Amino acid sequence: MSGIFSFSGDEEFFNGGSMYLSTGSCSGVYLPPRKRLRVAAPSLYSSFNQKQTSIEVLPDECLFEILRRLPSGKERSACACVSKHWLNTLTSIKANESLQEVESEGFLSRSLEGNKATDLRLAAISVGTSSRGGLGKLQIRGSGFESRVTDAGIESIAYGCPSLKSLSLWNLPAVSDKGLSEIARCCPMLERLDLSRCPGVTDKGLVAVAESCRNLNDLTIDSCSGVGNEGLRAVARGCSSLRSISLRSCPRVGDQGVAFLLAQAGSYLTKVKLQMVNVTGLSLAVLGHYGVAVTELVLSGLQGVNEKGFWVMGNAKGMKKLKSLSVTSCRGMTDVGVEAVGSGCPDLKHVSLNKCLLVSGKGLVCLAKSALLLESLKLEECHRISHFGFFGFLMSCGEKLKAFSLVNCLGIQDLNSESHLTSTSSLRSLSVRCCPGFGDASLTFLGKFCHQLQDVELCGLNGVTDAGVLSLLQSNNVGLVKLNLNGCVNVSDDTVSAVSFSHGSTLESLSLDGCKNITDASVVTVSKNCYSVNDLDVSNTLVSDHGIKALASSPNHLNLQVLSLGGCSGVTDKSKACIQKLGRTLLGLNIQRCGRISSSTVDSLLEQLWRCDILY
Amino acid sequence: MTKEMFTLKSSDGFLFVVDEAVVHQSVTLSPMVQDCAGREYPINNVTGKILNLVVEYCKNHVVVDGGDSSSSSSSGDALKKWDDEFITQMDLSTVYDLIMAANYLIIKGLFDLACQRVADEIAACKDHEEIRATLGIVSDYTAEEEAEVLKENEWAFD
Repeated sequence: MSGIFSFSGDEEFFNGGSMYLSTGSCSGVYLPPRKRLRVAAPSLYSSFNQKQTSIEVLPDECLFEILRRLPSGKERSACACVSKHWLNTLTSIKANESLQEVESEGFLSRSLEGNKATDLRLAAISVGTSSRGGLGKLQIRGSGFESRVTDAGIESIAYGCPSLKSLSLWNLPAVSDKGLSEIARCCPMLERLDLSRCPGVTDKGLVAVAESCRNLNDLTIDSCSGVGNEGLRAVARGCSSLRSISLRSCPRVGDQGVAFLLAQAGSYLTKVKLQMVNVTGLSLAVLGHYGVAVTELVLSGLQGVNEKGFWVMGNAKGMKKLKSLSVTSCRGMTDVGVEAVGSGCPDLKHVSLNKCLLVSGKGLVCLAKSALLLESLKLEECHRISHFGFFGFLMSCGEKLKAFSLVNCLGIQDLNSESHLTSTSSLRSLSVRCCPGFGDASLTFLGKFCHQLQDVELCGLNGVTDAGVLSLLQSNNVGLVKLNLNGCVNVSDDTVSAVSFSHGSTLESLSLDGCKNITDASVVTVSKNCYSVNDLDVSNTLVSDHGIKALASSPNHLNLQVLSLGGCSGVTDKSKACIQKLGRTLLGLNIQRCGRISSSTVDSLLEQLWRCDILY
Repeated sequence: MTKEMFTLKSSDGFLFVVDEAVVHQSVTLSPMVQDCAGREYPINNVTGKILNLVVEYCKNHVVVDGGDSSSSSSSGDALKKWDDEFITQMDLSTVYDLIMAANYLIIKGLFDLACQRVADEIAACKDHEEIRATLGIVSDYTAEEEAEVLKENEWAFD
C-alpha cells in the first residue's frame, strides 16, 4: 500500500485513509521491478517472451477492431496466415467496414473443386484477392454431402469480395439461403448466378438476390428442389437486366413462375432454356406472345406440354427474333408444332430436334418452305423421318441451308430419289451418324444434289462403301475440306486415293478411325497428293511403319498438326525417327494402345516432342 | 466554481478522484453522474495501473474539448503529439489492458488510439511468423492449411 510515488497536478486529500493518485506520469510505479529478457532485433525473435502477455487475451471484438485498422491488403494477407482464428476474424470484416480501399473491379477468378473446396480456402481467397484486383468470378464444384463448403465460407466471400460478378455453385448441400442472402447484400454487382444441386437454396435466397442484384443478366437454376415460383416472380420483378434464364429439374417450378417471368421479361430476355420443368402449354403460349426479344430457345423434357402448346407458341407469331431452336424429348412437338414454329419465326436459322418421335418428313418440308433463312438442321433419334422426308426437306429448303446432320435416325432407308432435280443445294456441311439404313443409294442422290460440300461426316455406317462416297463427291465443285469416315468399315484405300487426288489442295482434315480395311496405301497417297492436310486420324486401321515413313518423307512438306495412330499395331519402334521428324510441326499425337511401341520410345518421344501433347 | 468530483475505485483498491468532464468521456460511466456524486464507484475489471492511464488520457482530452475554437488547430496538433507519445512508450501488454479497459468503459478516442497502436505494430512486422513472435500467437493451422492460405496470400512477402 505504501508505495513510493510522485505526483504533480491537482491534489485533493480524501478523508478515508486510502491512498489515491492524481494525474502524473506514474506508469510502472505500482509494479514491483521485474527482470525482463533482453532480446536482439525482432526479426530474429525465435522464442516468445513468456512474461509478456499474448494478444490472445483480447476478446474477439477487440481483435476485430484492431484488424479493421490495418493499412493495406499486404498486412491483411500476412495476418491471414497467422492463425485460423485471425483468418476468421478478418473475413468477418465487411468491405465497407475496413479502413482501406477495396478494389471495385473484379479482375481475378477462382475455381475450386472437390475436396479442395473448403471454407478455409474461401476465407483465404476472400482476404487474398481483395486488394490485388478483386475477385470477379468464383466457381465451386462441390462433392455433395462430403463438401466442406458451408454458409460460413460463402459469407466470407461476400464480405471480402464486393466486386464479385459471376458466382457458380454446384452440388453444395450445406449452402443455404443465409449464405446466398449475404452474397446478394454485399455483392450488388453480381451479373451471373449459376446454382446447381443446392437443395438448401429456396425462394427466400432468390428473393434476396432479386432485390439487391439489379445487374443480374444470367441466371441458371438446376436441380434446386427448394426453388419455386415465388423466387422466379421476384426475379421477374427485380432484375430488369436479365438476358438469359435457364431452369432445369426444379420440381417446384411451374407455370405460375415461368409464365410470369416470360411475360414480364420477354421484351428483354434473349436466351430461354426450360428443361424438365412442370410447365404446360400456358407457359409456351406466353412465350410465343411475349418473347419478342428471344433469340435462342431450348426446350427439353417438357412432359406437360401437348401438341397444342407448341402450335400456340408458333402461331402467336410473337417470337420474331428467334434464331435458334432446340427441342429434345418433347412429345408435344409434332409436325403441327414444327410447321407453326417455321411460319411464326421468320428469322429462324438453326433448328435441332432430338427424340421428337412424332416429327416426320411432312413437318420438315413445311419447315423448309416457311423458314427461308434456315441455315442448319440437326435431327437426332427422330425415327419417323424417312428418306422421303430427308430428301424432301433438302429439296424444299431455301438457299441459306449450310449444314445438315442426321444422328441415329432409324427410319432412314437406303433409297435413291427418282425425282428430277432442278437446282442444287447450297449445303456445305453434311453429317450422318449411326443411321443404320443409310447407304450408297442415299449418297448417290446427295451427290447429284449437293455440289458444294466442304465438310462431310459419315460415321458408323456399314452401308457406305467406296462407290457411295465417290458418287457423293463426283460433282463437287468447291473442294472438300474435312472428311470423316470413322467406323465405316466397308471403305477402302480406293476412296482415300480418289479423294486425295481430287481434293488434295483443299483437304485439311481426314479421319478414318476404325476403318479396318485402310492400309498404308491410303497414307502414301495422302502424303503424295495432299498439301494442306493438318489433321490425320488413322487409329485402329492397318497403317504401319511404311505409311509413317511415307508421311515423314512427303514431298509436300506436310504441316501435320494432329496425328492419331491409336490402336495401330502395325506401328513399331522403327517409326520413331519418322515421328520425330513429323514432330516438328505436331501439336497433338495419339499413340494409345500401339502395342508394338515400347515405353522407351514413348519416353524419348515425350522428351523430344515437348511442344506436342502426347496421349500414350 | 465548485466542480462535481467523483471517485473511481480500481479492482485492486486504488482510488481516483476525477471531475465530471472526465467521467463524461466514458459512455459507461456517464450515467453515474446522476447517481454517485460523493460515493465510490467500483470499476471491477480495471487495475489501478491501467485506470491511472485512462484517467490521464481523459484529463488531457478534457482540456482540448473545453478550449476555444481559435486555438483548436494548434492545440489539436499538440494533443495528437501527446497521444502519440502516450501510446508509443507503452509496452504491448499495457496496450492490451488499455484496449480492454477502453472497451469496457466505452472511451472511443482511447480505444481507437490503442487499437491503432497494435495495428501499426502488426503492420511493422515483415511476415506472419514475425507477427506470431511479436504478439505471442500460437498457430492453429495444420501444415496443409497454412500452405493453402499462404498460396492465396503470397504476395505480401516480398
